[in-house]
Amino acid sequence: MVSYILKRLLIFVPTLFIIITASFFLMRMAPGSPFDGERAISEEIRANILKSYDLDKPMFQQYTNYLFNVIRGDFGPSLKIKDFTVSELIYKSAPTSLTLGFLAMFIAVLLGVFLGSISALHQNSKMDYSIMSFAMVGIVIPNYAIAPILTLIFGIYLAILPVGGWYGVSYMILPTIALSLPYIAYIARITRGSMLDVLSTNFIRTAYAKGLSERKILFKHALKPAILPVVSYLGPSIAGIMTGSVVIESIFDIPGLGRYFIQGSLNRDYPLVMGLVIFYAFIIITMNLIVDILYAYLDPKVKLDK
Amino acid sequence: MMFNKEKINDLSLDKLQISSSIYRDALIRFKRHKMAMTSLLILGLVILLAMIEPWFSPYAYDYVDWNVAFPSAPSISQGHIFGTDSNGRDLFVRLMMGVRISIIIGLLASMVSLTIGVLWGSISGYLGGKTDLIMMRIIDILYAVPFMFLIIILVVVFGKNIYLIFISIGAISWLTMARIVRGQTISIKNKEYIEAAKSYSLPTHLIISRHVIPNLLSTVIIYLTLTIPQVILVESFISFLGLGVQEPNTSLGVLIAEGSRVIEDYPWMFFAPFVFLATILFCFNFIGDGIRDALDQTNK
Amino acid sequence: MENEKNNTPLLSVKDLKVNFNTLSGGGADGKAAGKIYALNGVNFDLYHEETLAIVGESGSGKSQTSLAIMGILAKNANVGGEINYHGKNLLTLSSSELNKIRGTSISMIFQDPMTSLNPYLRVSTQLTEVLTEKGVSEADARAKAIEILNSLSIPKAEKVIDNYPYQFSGGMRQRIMIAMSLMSDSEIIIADEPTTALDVTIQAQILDIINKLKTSMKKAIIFITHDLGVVSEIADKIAVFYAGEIVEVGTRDEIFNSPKHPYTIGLLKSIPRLDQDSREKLFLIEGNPPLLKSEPASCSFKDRCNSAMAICRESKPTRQEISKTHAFSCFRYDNKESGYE
Repeated sequence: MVSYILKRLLIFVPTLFIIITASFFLMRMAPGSPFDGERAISEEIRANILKSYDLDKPMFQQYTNYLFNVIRGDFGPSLKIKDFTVSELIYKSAPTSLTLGFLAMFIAVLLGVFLGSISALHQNSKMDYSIMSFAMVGIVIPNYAIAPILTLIFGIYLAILPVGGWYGVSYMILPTIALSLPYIAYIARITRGSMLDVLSTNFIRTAYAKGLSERKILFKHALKPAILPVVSYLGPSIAGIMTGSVVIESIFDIPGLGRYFIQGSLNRDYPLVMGLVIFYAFIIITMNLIVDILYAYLDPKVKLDK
Repeated sequence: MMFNKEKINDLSLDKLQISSSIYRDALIRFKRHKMAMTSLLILGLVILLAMIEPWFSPYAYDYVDWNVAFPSAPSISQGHIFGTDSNGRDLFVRLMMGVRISIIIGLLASMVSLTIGVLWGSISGYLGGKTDLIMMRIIDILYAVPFMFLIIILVVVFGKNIYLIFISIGAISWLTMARIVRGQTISIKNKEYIEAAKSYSLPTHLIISRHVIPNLLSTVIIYLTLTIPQVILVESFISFLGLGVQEPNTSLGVLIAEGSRVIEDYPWMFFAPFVFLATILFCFNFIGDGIRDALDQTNK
Repeated sequence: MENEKNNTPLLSVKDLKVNFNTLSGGGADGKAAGKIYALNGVNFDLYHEETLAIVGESGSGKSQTSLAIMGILAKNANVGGEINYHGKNLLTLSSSELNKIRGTSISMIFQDPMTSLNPYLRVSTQLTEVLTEKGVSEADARAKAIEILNSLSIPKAEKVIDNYPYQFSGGMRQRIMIAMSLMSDSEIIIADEPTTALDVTIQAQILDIINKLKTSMKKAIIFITHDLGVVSEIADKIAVFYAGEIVEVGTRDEIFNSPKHPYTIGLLKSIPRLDQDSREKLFLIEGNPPLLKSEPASCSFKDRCNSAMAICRESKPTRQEISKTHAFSCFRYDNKESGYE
């Protein structure tokens, strides 16, 4: 297990390094100076700005400086949002985004595994068909298209939930549902499939032959192997939830990282976008590492081998 | 050597004939798949409508109708069956344009991803050893990169260019395809006809192109049906953020984004593109299911 | 051997029928719903301390018989007949009532030790839960598990008991399966091809262990196998299965020395013998057992039988008893003149 984790870490560091390097050079390759938009800047101010962004130094030195700064958590000042460094903006808005992301993840796993197991246990029943149809809708229709409909129904027609802002628990409900919907659907589908596979294995038959109760067979023998595929899916779904959160935040007007990300992208605020991408990547890769460790913990073969 | 050229050709011919009958059977099964056939029909109609729309439509996609309100609700008497958007442009015409762009991006980006994925996967799987290890490690690392963000960086850096979008989507969505193809290649690699081709010392690139890639077909088709709707989703996501297709052009993602902002007051502006996007995505999904079922049975 | 216990059967199977609803009839069109008849009226009795061998090809229904006894047939199965055990028909019990019997009084050893143990749970957990489910303390159950593993000569049992199944070899895993069946002092142990998935040398060790269950632990055993040779040592009674029916049943001596049914005779001839000339071809019963889509109205073996007659295609042979223990179903002996030797 130790060498397994080491192996994962071995991917962790180069991945982050590649992302930082790639985004740095991509940004520097951008046609035109980042200050093209600002007309009325005197030469003197311009030189100052260039200096504060290290733009007067050779490319390689800029790169090593940036790399060094990033490692210390300093992404430099924002180009467009005055008086704020990128790190300050991230520090200010990250908790909101992370709360939303973790809530969505939690709901997705909880509901997904629950619905998928129900579906598998009542295979080919009406319940199974309705859950799987729901899952189909959740998978096929993107959540940014479903979110406005949720807003319309719960926020405007029924008027029971707020549709924008982030001031308390009631504000979290709609965005969390919208964000987690496709993942609830995917996890339900995966769980159903793996649960059906597991229930037809020989070792479940052995468990029945031992005279164990249905409940014990389900929770002790079947659940763990059935959720392993869900655990491997958590990696990609974390990335999906983080990205999806950008749109959901914009739809529900949530003051998270997503807002700065969209603003930064539209305004070509390079340091801001780079900082956010690196931050998002860091979160996603770290979560992936945690998921891998969790998987290893659950699967005895990985846990004890290698 | 006991082998002669004819023998090798015979072998591949046999294989080809077997596989052609496999595909014929699959086609028959696909035709029996009601959902898939219905979806194919609906999707065909939607695409046809979108393609011929410029020929019969009285409005251009950027024509502003000053005679109606901005936006105006769907009305046949005013000549706008889906109404107009906030700029007074005919929504039906813009929808059709959105469908065209979404479909074209879906197909082109899938082709890009297909080409890279199949080549990468088959080479890696066929050569094996260190090459395989390195090529797969690269994929492992790329997998950990959050792609949507990479696309966004590309868009921020190189500007909001429609070609760039489909190339970048295609160029980064080949990873899973490569993995699947690699696995399949490894199992094909050990089949007798490959052994035969090897013993005749056929060059590796010919073995890959003649014997490996054609036998990957069903796997690739199955995965392709998953890729197309995914790519359409990525495009609409980026466009939704305002980073994709730009005015006066439009895509379904842009239209949904515009509509979602005014859903309370002008619901048609949201629901019209929503219905089209949902229809297209559902159709692709059911067609994919149908193809998968048809081809999977052959493998059994 | 003649004690009172031996006069009433411990387990009595009467007219057991099992069929499966199938969605696809297996035809090219794929959708024709139908039934597959796996067991078509099976009767046998199992007495105390007796080893009954059930012999037949795959698909003959021998495994389905054991699954029916344990109440773990596939969900699409329909069951008829009776399986009587201590005055109860197991087929009519609810699953919670059945749970008081399976694993406690009747235990099963499965064919494939590689897949029949849960790969995600420690062996200790899988052994002790047989008892803890019934209220025995964890510590007692563990002590018993270690004792049994020791008796099955698993080295360093108290240490390896906490390993996962994949850390054991096939033979060791089968010992663990056997240990599992011994956890609760069951009266009856059903062993479904316990040696099939193993190497020949390991097979012998496992057979040895099962022999011990019979001789020193006095268990009643149902031993299911496709190989008559395997049971020649340990079986008291042999039931030969073909197409979901018992075509011949008798004591070991009766089956080996005076087989009656052509299928039994064929099976015996196909056992390789040491004294056989190696150039001589091993006997082979041509063809495959039928997959029954309806209850058989004639002899199921007719198509593979060397001595099939016209009547074999018209009606079904009835069970003929030639001694208290020996019975078979075949038309060959109806007319004494066409005697079969």
